[in-house]
Amino acid sequence: MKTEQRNALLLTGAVALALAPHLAAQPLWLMALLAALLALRAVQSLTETRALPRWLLLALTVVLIVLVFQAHRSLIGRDGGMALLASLVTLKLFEAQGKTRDSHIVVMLAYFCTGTAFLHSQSPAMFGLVMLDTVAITLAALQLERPQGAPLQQTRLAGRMLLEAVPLAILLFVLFPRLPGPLWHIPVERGARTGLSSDRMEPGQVSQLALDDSVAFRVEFDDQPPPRSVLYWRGPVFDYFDGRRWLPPQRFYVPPRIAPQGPSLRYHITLEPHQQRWLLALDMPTVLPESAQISGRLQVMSAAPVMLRQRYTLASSLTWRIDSDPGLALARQLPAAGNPRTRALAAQWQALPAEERVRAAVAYLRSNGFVYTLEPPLLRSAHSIDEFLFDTRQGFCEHFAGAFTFLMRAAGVPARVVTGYQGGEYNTAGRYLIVRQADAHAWTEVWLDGLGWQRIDPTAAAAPARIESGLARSIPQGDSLPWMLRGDDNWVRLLHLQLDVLVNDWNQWVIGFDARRQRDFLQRLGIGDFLSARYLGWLLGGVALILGGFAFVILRPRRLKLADPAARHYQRFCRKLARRGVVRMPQEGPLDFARRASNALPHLALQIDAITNEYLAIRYGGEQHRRESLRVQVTQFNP
Amino acid sequence: MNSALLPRFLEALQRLDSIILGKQDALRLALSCLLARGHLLIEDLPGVGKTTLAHALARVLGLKFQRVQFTSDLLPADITGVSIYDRQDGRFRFHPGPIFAQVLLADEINRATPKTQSALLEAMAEHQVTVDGESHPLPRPFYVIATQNPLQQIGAFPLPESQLDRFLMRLELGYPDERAERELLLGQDRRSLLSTQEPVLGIAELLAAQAEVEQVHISPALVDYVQALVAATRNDPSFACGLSPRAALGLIQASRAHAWLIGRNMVIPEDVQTIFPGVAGHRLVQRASGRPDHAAVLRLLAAIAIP
Repeated sequence: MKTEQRNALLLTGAVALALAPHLAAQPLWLMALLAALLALRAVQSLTETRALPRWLLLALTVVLIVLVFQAHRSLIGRDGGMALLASLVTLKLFEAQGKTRDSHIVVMLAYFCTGTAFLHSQSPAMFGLVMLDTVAITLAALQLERPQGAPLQQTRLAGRMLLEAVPLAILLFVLFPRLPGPLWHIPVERGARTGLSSDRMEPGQVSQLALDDSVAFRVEFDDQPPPRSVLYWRGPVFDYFDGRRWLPPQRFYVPPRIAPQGPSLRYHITLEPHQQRWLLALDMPTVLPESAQISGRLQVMSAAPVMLRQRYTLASSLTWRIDSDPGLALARQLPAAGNPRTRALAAQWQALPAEERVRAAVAYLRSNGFVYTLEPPLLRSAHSIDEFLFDTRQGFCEHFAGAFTFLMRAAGVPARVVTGYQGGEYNTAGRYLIVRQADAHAWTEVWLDGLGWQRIDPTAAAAPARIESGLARSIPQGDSLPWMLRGDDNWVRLLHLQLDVLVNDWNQWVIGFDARRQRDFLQRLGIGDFLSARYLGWLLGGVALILGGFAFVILRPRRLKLADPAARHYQRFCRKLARRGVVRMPQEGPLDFARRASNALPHLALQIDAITNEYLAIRYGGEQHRRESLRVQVTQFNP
Repeated sequence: MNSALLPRFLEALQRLDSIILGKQDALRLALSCLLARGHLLIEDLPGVGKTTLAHALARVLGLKFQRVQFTSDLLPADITGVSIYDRQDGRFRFHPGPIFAQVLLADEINRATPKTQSALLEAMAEHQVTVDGESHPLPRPFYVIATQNPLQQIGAFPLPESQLDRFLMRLELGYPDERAERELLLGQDRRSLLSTQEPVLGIAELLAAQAEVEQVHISPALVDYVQALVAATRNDPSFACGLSPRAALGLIQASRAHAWLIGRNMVIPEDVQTIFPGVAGHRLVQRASGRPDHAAVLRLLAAIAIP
């Protein structure tokens, strides 16, 4: 392959790599079209066919602009803008032949494109891809400048250039002033809500999540994590039943006061964005994160929907008491009619005290052969709760929670449905808890006078294993589960947990290093604000230190390690002369040097000649016996 | 060591200097090349004294001299000789060509076709000529001094690398300096001056001197330096290929001869530095242009530290 072909191919490859993350986000046909154009360019550079004519490139440009506009209804914004940019860069590649201005423009555009890949994802994998691509583009640029260079050597050079930039990059990452919010908002164009819904709860909804092994949030506890049976992560609460679905609160009121009955537990949650306002907290939250509020139903709400990964700290008490709740009446609501058999069952317990009624209902679920399954039969009748409690008796947690809450209300005990997550997986490698979408759960809260709202988990009555050991051990053997949710410790799973530690550290320390954390960090260095002399000292001092280090490595005098004693004596002689300003060049032969030194220091000419002759005779004439004489002469030589 | 032969050679050098004015360094290198038993390539513009130098060398050293002007219609047999039927004897008799000399001046070697060039170069390597299946040994010593004009490449056949490698050294003469040129213009005609010269040396002395050159000491430290230079030519990506082991060997041989001519019984780095451009110049061609890059050779010499 000729060097021109190879270099053109390299540039095409680097551009393809830079565009890959963007193409993956484009409609399939646009992706295929651009990929085909890139492939055409690659073939063209291999076969050295003539460049595409100018009119064709212009026509293609117009067609692509129209197509992009058709696809995105816009030529700006993340997806529309990137589609346009990707199209134009691909076409520009056809103009980049050899070391021309066009080629340089393509190199710069490729660097830009690869940087914008972070608009799609900021994961460690994307970081790795971008670094790889940076090396590829640098290599293509190096080949443009020096087409004769050996590719392997230049790859090493490109890699080394990247590594040399790392210290400066880290320094600026840590010290360069950050804005409190993102400079421009990263648009979330899909706007897909993930995880639990706060709109409604109906049968089949949570079980859809049961197969989703993506991470919902991660938790670090300040102390030992509590046992998994109390890890109820409180999310949306539902207290209105319309006969089939449970709906969110219709009215708002002042939250009741929670009286903690035990020690409080501090922990930090890193929540993946779910585009909704509610935050998760362990039952019951006592200390809220900044700028969050608690609702009447004891839900923690953030001020704005969670669009970016967010880390917050709160504290909870695992035992509590609530004395009064102004919204209690709402927790008794029932539709006027429907589910007569359930109502009849509840009517049997009317005489009992409230606590006994709860216990009776739990006993009913435990003793009547209820099955906890991911694939319950569909409830078709209008009396869905009757159907579940008396006919099918198979369900997932939302069936149990919904039916139990209905049963309680029918028996006269105030009750409501709470959804959220239960349990989680403790990652011992990273000492944090991973809670996945599959850990989504629903349970019931009942109001008991004197105690207030207390949690009853009807699922635990039917399938205790769900709470004790998680989903994998509690569903029937036949149901299929994704790898990550299986209970057995296969190596894939262990590897995945290790990788999750990496992802979590990345999120915490790189993505999560925002203006607030920067401020905290700088305060630890004693820097109050960015206009202080101390800050400038750190910044400029750091830059000077790094550049100075490089300068030292490059400019440091290379002293050869000499095994030959004669050479060492001679070097001593040269150092003595260097002090008098006559410095021997590394490539300068001893005779040439002696001539120069004698001219500079004529009064020493005799000595210089004698020493040089002695040295030459030993080192090049093989007369080793004269070594001692050389040593003595050099020692006596005092210019 | 001070050889008894050395004064004779210095006298020869002096004599050469009186013919070729102002070119002491080139003369010393040319003599080193012959003492190291190597063939010499002189590359320069017409009229700067290439042919005169070759002629003078042969003359002063007392060697049998033949000159062949290479042209595009020169055939191999024109150099090596032909077998002609002898009617009296009733068989073919070999008539040796001009190559059967001790010094063969191949003038403008790049004008001949590759076929003729390779016949000459084969003879240089094998030290014999084979005609009609019969081998005829060449006289000893046998030197080829070739000249070529670097500028006029139209209708010329540049020597390929493998054949350039057969020449131990390549020299450039360059214009004489002002004083030397003045002397030249005022002085006697070079050619008639040449014809009046008596040989200073004989073949026996030349062969003895060559044997003495073989004895000049090479230390491990010097081999380190030669190896560093050779390795640098191989690692430098701007050269098409580095120096061959044959070139390294030639570098050491020529350095020995150079040291001997100075009267030293050991080779020091300065000898190598003096010889290196002549030995490496025609062997190191630029990867980009395919032409020799003399500036790069000097740069390389300046970049490699003496170990």
